[in-house]
Amino acid sequence: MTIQEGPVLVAEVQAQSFRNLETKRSSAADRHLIVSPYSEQEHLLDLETLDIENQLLAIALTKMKCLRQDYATAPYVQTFNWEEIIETLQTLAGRLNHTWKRTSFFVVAFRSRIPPTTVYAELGTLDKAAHAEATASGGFLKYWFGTPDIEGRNLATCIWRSQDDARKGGVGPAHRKAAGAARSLYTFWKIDRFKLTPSDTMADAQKDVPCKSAQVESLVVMKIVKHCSSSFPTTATGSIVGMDNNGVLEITNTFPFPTVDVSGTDSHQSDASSLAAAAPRAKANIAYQNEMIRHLKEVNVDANNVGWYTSATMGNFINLSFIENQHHYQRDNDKAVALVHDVSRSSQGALSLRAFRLSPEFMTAYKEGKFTTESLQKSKLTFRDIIVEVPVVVHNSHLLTSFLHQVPAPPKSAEIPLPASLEDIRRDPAQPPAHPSFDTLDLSIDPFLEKTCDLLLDSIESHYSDLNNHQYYQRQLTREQFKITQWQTKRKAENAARLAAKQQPLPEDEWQRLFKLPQEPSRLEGMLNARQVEQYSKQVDGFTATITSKMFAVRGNLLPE
Amino acid sequence: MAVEQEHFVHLARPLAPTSMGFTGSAPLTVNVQPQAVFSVIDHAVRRDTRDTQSTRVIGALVGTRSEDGSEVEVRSTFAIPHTENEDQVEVDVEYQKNMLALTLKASPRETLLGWYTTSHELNSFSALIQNFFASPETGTFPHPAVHLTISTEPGAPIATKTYISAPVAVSPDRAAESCLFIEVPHKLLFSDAERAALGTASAAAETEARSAPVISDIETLAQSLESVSDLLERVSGFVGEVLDEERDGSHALGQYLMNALSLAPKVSSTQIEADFNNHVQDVLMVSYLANTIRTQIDLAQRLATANLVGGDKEGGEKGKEGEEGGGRPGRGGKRGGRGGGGQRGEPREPREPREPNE
Repeated sequence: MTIQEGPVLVAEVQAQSFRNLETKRSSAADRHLIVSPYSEQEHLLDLETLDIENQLLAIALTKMKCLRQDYATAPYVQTFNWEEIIETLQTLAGRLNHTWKRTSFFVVAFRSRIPPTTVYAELGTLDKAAHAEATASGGFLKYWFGTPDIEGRNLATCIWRSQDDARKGGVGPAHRKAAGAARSLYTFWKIDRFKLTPSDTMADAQKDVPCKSAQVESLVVMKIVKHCSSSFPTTATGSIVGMDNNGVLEITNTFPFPTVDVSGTDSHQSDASSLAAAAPRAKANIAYQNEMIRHLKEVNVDANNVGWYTSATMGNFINLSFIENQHHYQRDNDKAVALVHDVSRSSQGALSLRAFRLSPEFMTAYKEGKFTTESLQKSKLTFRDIIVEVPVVVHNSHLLTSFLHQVPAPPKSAEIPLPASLEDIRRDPAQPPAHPSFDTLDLSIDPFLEKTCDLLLDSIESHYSDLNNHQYYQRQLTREQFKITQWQTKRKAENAARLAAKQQPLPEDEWQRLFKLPQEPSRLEGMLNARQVEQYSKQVDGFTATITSKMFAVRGNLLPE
Repeated sequence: MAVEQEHFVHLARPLAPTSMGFTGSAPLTVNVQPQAVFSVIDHAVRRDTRDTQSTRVIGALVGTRSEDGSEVEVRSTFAIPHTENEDQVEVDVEYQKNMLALTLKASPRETLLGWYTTSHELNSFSALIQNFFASPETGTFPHPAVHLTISTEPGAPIATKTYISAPVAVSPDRAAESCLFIEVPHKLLFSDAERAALGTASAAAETEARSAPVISDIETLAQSLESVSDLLERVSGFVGEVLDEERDGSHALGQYLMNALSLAPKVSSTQIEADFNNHVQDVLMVSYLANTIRTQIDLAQRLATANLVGGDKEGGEKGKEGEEGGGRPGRGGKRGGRGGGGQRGEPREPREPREPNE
C-alpha cells in the first residue's frame, strides 16, 4: 500500500457511513461500505461477500480512529482506538443476537519514510488503483493512512479477513506497480503483520512470535561458506535477505560487504579483521546494502534485510562488535538474526552454521547503555541471557534438489561391470556421496586442543584485565570516599567552631561539587567474556564426545580383544 | 573435487581478432564453483512468468581468470532482467553495469567472465548477447566471453554446457548478431571448505520436506559411522558371495581390497595403549580445564553482581557493599574483591601453563 497526502475528512465520512449502516442495515441497496478515505464505487466494500463476523468487524472498523499524533513511530497497538472498536463490535453483535465466533483477522502495518522530493500525487493514483484491486479480490476490510510528519514518516494500515486474502490482494498488477514505485520513492519502509483476535471480552492485537527458526536456502549456505573460507583468517561479513513467514525466518539470498582496501597497510591482519567485523554498521555499507537490495528486488528476490552473517574461528565470535552489529540490525527489524559460520569447525567435516539473536531483555538493557552492578542487580540480567540461539534449517528448492541428486552422478546402470584391472579402479574412483561425509572420521586431536587452550587463555587474560579495571575503580572509589569523609568531618568541626564563635555555618554539601566519584566500568565486557567461555567449554564438550568415541573405535580396531 | 566432467577432446580455441597482441589460442578450461550453479538455479526458480514470454533467464558470470587466460573460474553470478519475444530481446544494460560494479566492489579480485542462460538453445539472440558480453567496451575483450547454459527443464536432468565464441558473419552488418559457439570443457569444482556445506544441502535433498536441520557433530559422526558400516557390510557381502561361488570374483577388486587391508599399520600393542592413553588424557584434561574455567568465571560473574550483605559497614554507594567489604584488606583484596572467585581462582593458576603442553 502506498500513502497519499491530504487528510480527507476521514472521521466524518466514516461516522456518516456508520450511522447510515446502522439505521439501514436491512436495506439491500446499502450493502456497500466505505472502508477507506476513498469513496468511489470501486473502493467500496461489498458486505454481501462477507460472513457475519467479518461484516460486523468491517462496520465496527468505520469507527477506527487514530489516537496519537506520533502514529508514524508509536507502537501499533496503542495507535488506534481498539477498545472502542471492540465495544462497537460487541454492541453490534448483541443487537443482532449473534454469538461471536472466535475469528482472527490479519493486520498489516506499513511504516514508511519519504524524502521531501517525492511527489504525492503520483503515489495517490498508484494507491487508488491498488486499493480498487484489493477490494475486488475480496476480504479487504479496512484501509487507513496518515499524513507524513515533518521528517516524512508515515503509517498506513490495512485489515484483512485473513492472511490468504492479503496475499491474493497483493499479487495484482496495480499493487505490484505501486510496490515497485514504493521502492524508488521511499527512503525507508517496513511492514509489520499483526493478528487481531477479538474474543468475547477483549481484543488482543498481538505481534507474531518473533522467529522460531531460521530456514536458510542452500544457496545462502554455499555463498556464506565460500566467502568466509576465501577470506579466512580475516573475518568476513555480509548481509542476508529474505522474509519472515509466520515465525520462520526464510533466508533466501546473501551478499558480502565490500572489503576495505588495506593493501597500503598490509600485514595488519587484525586491522582488516576488525574493519570487516565493523562493516555491517559502517555508513558506507548501509548504503551499499540498500543499493544491492534494490537491485535484487528487480530480479524477484525476497529482498528484505533480515540480518547479517559473520565468520568465526572456533566459536570466538562473542564480542562487543558482534553485539553492536546485531543491535544495529535488531533495532530496525525485530526479527533480524546473525548467522555465524565457523570456518575451523566446518573444516572438520560437519557444517557449523548457527543463528543468534539478542534477547529482548538485553536489547532494553543495551538501549539504556548501563551495565553497572546496580542495574544488573535490578534487571537480573546474566551473561546467559545476552544472546539466544535460533535453530537453523537448510532448505532446497525443487530444482536444486534434483540437481543435488545428480551430484555426484549416479551409476548409469544398476549393474556395474567388474573392473578389469587395478588401473581401472584408480582411473575412475568411486565418488563418495556428499552426505554423509567421511571427513568427520578424521582423527586429528592436537590442533583442536591447542587452539582451544589458546582461546581459553585469552579469555582468562581478558577476565583478569576486566577484574583489574573493577579493582582499580574500587580503589579509586574508596579513596574518594575516604577524602569525602575527611572533608565532611573537617567541615563539621569547622562548623562547630563557627557555631561556637556565633558565625553562620558553612554549607555541608559542597563536597558534591568538590569531589567527583569515578565512573563504574561497564560490566558488559565481562559478561560477554563469560558467555564466550561458556561457548568454548560447550564446544570442547562436544569435541570430547566425538573424539573419544573415535579413539575407542581405533583402539578396538588395532587391538582386538 | 571435481564431480562432473565430460569427456571430449578440446584442442584449441578459435583466434579472435585482437589488436593488443594477445595470442589466445591455448585451450580453455572453465571451472564452475557450486555456488554459481546454485544461484543460477535459484534465479531460474524465481523467474518472472507473468509478463514475458521468454522461458529462460540470463545473468552474468563473475570470477577469476588465470594469468595466461587459459583457465577461468566462475565464482559467482548475478541475474539480469531481460525480456524476449519472437523478434526482439531487451537486456537491462544499465542494471548489468550497476550490479557488476556492486559485485566487484565486494570482491575486487574478480572480473566479468561471461554470461549464463537457463536453456541449451543457442539462437540469434544468444549471439547478440554473446557479442555484447565479448565486446571491448562492455565485455571481456580481449579474453573470450564464456557462455554457460544450464538446462532447467522440469523432469529432465540438469545439464551444464560452456561455450566460447568466434566471430562469423556473411556480411559486416550482420556481424553483431551472429557468432560461432564452440563448446569448451568445464568442471564443477568443490573445494574442501564447501564439502561440509554441500553435505548438509545433500542431506536436505534426501528428505521429503527438502530441508534438514544443521546437526551437531556427534550426530554427524553417528551418520558417517552408520554409512561406513553399511559399506563394509556390502563389501563383506560381496566377498562372501564370491567365496561361496555365487558370483564371479574380480582379480582387480581382490587386489584392491588386499592393498587396502595391508594399509593397516603394524604397531605394538603397548605402543597403541600408550598413545591411546596419552591422547585420551589430553582430551579429557582440556575438557576438564575448560569446564573449570567456565565455572570460575560464572562464579565470578555471579559474585560481581550479587547483593552481598555482611561487609556493608561503610556503604557509601548502594550495591557496592560486597566488593568493598572484600576490598578493604588492601592489595590482597584484589581477588578477594570478587569474593570467593579469588580463592577458588588460586589453584587454577599453576595449572594454566600446562595447558599448551597438552
